[in-house]
Amino acid sequence: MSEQLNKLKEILPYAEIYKIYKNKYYAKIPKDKWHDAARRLKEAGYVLLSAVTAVDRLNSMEVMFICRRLEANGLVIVGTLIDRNDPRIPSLVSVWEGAHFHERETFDLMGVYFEGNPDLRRILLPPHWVGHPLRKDYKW
Amino acid sequence: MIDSIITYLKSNPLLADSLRVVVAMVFALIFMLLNALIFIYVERKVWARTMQRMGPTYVGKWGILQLIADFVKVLNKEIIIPAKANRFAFLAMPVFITAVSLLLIIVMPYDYVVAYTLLIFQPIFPAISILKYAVVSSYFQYGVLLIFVILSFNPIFILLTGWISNNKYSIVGGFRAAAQLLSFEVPFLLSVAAVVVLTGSLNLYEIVEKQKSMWLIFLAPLTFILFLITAIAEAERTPFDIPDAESEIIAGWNTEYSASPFLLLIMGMYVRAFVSATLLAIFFFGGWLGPTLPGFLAPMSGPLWLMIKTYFFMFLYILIRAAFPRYRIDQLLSLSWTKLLPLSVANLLIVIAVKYYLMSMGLMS
Amino acid sequence: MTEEKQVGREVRKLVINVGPQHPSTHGPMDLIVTVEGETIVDVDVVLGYIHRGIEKLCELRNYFQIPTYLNRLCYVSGMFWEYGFVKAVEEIMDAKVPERGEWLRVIACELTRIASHLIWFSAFTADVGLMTLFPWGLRDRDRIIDLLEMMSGQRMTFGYFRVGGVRYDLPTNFDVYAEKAINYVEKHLEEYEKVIYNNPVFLARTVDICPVPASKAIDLGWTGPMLRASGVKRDLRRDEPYAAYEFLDFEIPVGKKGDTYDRVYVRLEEIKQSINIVRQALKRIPSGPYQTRSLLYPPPGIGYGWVEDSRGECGYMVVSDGTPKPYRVKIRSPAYIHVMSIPNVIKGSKIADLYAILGSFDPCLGEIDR
Repeated sequence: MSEQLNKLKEILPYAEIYKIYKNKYYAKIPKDKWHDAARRLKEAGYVLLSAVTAVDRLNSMEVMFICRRLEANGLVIVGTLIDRNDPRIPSLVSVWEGAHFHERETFDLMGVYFEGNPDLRRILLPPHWVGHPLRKDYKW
Repeated sequence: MIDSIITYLKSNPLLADSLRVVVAMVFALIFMLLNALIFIYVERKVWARTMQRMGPTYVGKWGILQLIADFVKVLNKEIIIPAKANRFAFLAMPVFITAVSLLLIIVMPYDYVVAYTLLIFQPIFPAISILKYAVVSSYFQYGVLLIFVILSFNPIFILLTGWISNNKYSIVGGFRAAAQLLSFEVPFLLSVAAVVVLTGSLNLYEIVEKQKSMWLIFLAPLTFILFLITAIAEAERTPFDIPDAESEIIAGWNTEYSASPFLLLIMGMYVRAFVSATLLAIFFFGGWLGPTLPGFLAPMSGPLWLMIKTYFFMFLYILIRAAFPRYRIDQLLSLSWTKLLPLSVANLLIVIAVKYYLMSMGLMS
Repeated sequence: MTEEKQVGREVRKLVINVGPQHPSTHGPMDLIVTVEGETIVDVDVVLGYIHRGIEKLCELRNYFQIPTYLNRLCYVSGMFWEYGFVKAVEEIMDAKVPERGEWLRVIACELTRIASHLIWFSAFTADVGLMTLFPWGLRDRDRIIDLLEMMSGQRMTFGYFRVGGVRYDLPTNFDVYAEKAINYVEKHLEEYEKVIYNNPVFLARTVDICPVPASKAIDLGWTGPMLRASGVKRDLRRDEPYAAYEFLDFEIPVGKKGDTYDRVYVRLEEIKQSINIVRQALKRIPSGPYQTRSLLYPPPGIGYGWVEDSRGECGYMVVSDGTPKPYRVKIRSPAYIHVMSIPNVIKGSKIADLYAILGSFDPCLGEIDR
C-alpha cells in the first residue's frame, strides 16, 4: 500500500503527497515544477494521462493533471496553485500528445493559458464567447 | 371498321409506322414506370424483411399503395433550389437524365411484353390483334449498340448534375460517379462483346432466338459473372453505390435535389437498374424462351417468362444490396482496372475460341 | 525549396464540412476536413453543439440531484455515468456498499455495456454501407434495454445508482428473463460474425484502415476498447478491480494492429465477455441488503471515481467543500479524447474511410460535449 507512496516521494521529492483513497494520491507541487513533475512521472511509468483540469479556488487557481500507470494500479493527481487573475502554466503537450485536448477544454471553461500549446482555442463554447463559465464569479 | 383502318394505314406506310412507334412508346413507358414502382416496392419490402422489419404496411393491403402515397407526397413538396446553383440547369438536369434513361425503352422489348400480354383478350376483342403490329423494338438491328450509347451518356449527366448543384458533396459524388462509370464501361462492353460474338447479332430478338438450343449462361458462365458485376456497378447499386453513398457523402450527386426533380432522378436510377436486370435475362437466360402456357394464355407466355427472369435478377440485386457494405472508390477502381478488365479480355478470347470450335463442329452458325 | 511550386503536380485542396448535420457523425459534430484529391491532409474537430454545461449544473445541485443529470451525458450507456460520480462521492465519504449492491452494479454495468456496444455496432455497419445490420443491432439492444427497465424502471435515463448502493433490488424472476434475453443476443452475435467476418467487402473496408500503434494510443490517452484494439491489455475491471469484478472470471480481448477491424473485433468480443459476466453474476449474486444509509453529503475532500465505460475510462473528479453541493465536478469523457485525437491519427487516410474510422471511434456527442 505504501509502496506507491514511497515511489511517488522518490519521483517527486519536492511534492507534498496526501493519500485520498486506497491507491489514489494527491501531490501538491510548486508552480515551477509543473512540467518537470509531468516528465518525471511519465518516465517513472505513469504513462496514461487521464485529465488536465483546474479548480477555481477563488483567491487562486488550482491546476491539476491526473495520470495513472499501465501495468500496476495507482493514480496520482498532481496539483499546483497559480495566480487567478493571470493564470499561466506551461503546456504538457511536449510530454503527452493527448494533453492538448484537455488543455483546450480547460482554457475554454476555466481560462487557464497553457503556454506552448500549439492550438489553444475554445472548443466547447463558440469562438465569440466572453468569459469562462466554470469560474466561480462567472455571471450568467 | 377495323379492316378499313388497316387498309388505310397499309396505303400510308409513313403514318402507320409513326403510329406504331407512338403506341409502342406509350405502352413501354407505362410499363416501365409501373415496373420501377414495383421494383421500389419489392425492394423496400424484401430489404425490410432482411432487416427484420415489416416494411410498408399501412397504405393498402401489405402496404402496396405506399409507393403511390409517397409519389403524391413527394410531388407536394417544395422544390428547393440552392442559391448558388444555376436555376435552369439545376431543373433541367433531372429531366435529361430521366429522358435519356427512358430512351432505353425503345430498344428494350417492353412493348412486346405489353402487346402480347394484352393479346390474351383477343378472343373477347378480336380487334386487339392489331397490337401485334405495335411491337417495334425488334426492328432495331443494332439494339445492343444503341443501349450502350444511351448508357454512356450517364457519367456526363451525373457529373454535370453534381457540378451544377454547387455543393461539395455533390461534386465529390459526381466525380466519383464519372470515374466509376467510365472505368466499368470497358469491362461492361467487353462482356457484352462476348455475348455478341457468341450469338453473332446485335439485335436483342436474334440474341434470344439464338439461345433456343442452349441458354448462354451454360455456354459462357464467366461472361455472365462479369456482366452481372459490371451491370450492378453501372446501375450504381450496393456494393458499388459509391456516387450516392447516403451515409458518406449524403446521396452524393443528388444531395441538393428535392421534390419532383428528386423523383425524376430516382426514377432514372431505377429504370436503369430494371433495364440491366432485363438485359441479364435476355443475354444469358434466354429472355422470353420457356414452355408455352395452355389455352388462351398462350400469347402471354413469352412476356411472363421474361418478367419472371427479370424479377429474379432484381431480387438478386436486392439481396446483394442487403448483404454487402460499400466499397471505397479506390478499391472499386482497382477492382475494375486490375481484375475485371484483364478477366474480360481473357473471357473474350475464350469466347472466340469456343465460338470457333462450335462453328467448326457445325453446332452454331 | 518549399516555396517553389511543383509545376503540374500541384493538387488543389478542397475543404469539406462533415457535419454538424451528417448521417455519419452520430450527433451534431463538425469535422472540417481538408482533402487533396481523396486523401485527408487535415481535420479540425468542432464540438460543442450540444454543450449543456453539466459541470456547471453540478455545482448548483446537491448530491442527490446530480445523478439525474449525469445519465443524460451518454444516453446509450447511462449506468456508467451515474456509477462514476457515485464512486467518486463514496470515495470521499468512505462509504461502504453492501455486497449485493456491488453485484447489482456489475450486472447493471455489463448489461449497459452490451446495449452500448450493440448500438455502436449497428451504427458502425451503417457507416460502412451495410444498412442491413443496423436494425439487427437495435433489435437485440431492445431486449437488453428491457432488462435494464426491469432493474431500474427506465429504459435509458436510469437513475439507478445512489451513494451507498443501488436504488432497487432485482425484480422477481429477473434471472429467467435475463437468461432468455442474453441467449437471444448471443445467438444473434454468431450471425453478426458470419455476416461481417466472411464478407470480403467488409474486410476491405476495415482491415489496415487507420492503424494506431500502442505507443501512440497511450500517448494520446486512449482508454477502453480503443486502447485494447491497439494491443495493450489494459482493462480497469481487471487491473484495478472495483465492485465485484475481482470475483468474476473473464477475458480481455485485445487487437493486433489497432486498425478499424481490430476495434470492431474487440468490441464484439467484449459483448461476449459481458454476457459471460452477467451469467456468472446472476448465479453468484449473494442475498442481503443492496443499499445502506449514507451521509447526506461528503466531508471536504477530493475524489476521483472512474469506471470502465463501454468507451473507456469514464472519470469524475469531485471536489467537495463540506456543503450539500459539490465545489467542482470534472467529467473526464473517453469519447472526447478519442474524437479529439482524430487529427493526430487520420492524416493520409482516404476521405471515404473517414466515416468508417469515425464510426469505429464510437463517438457519443452527449458525453463529448457535456
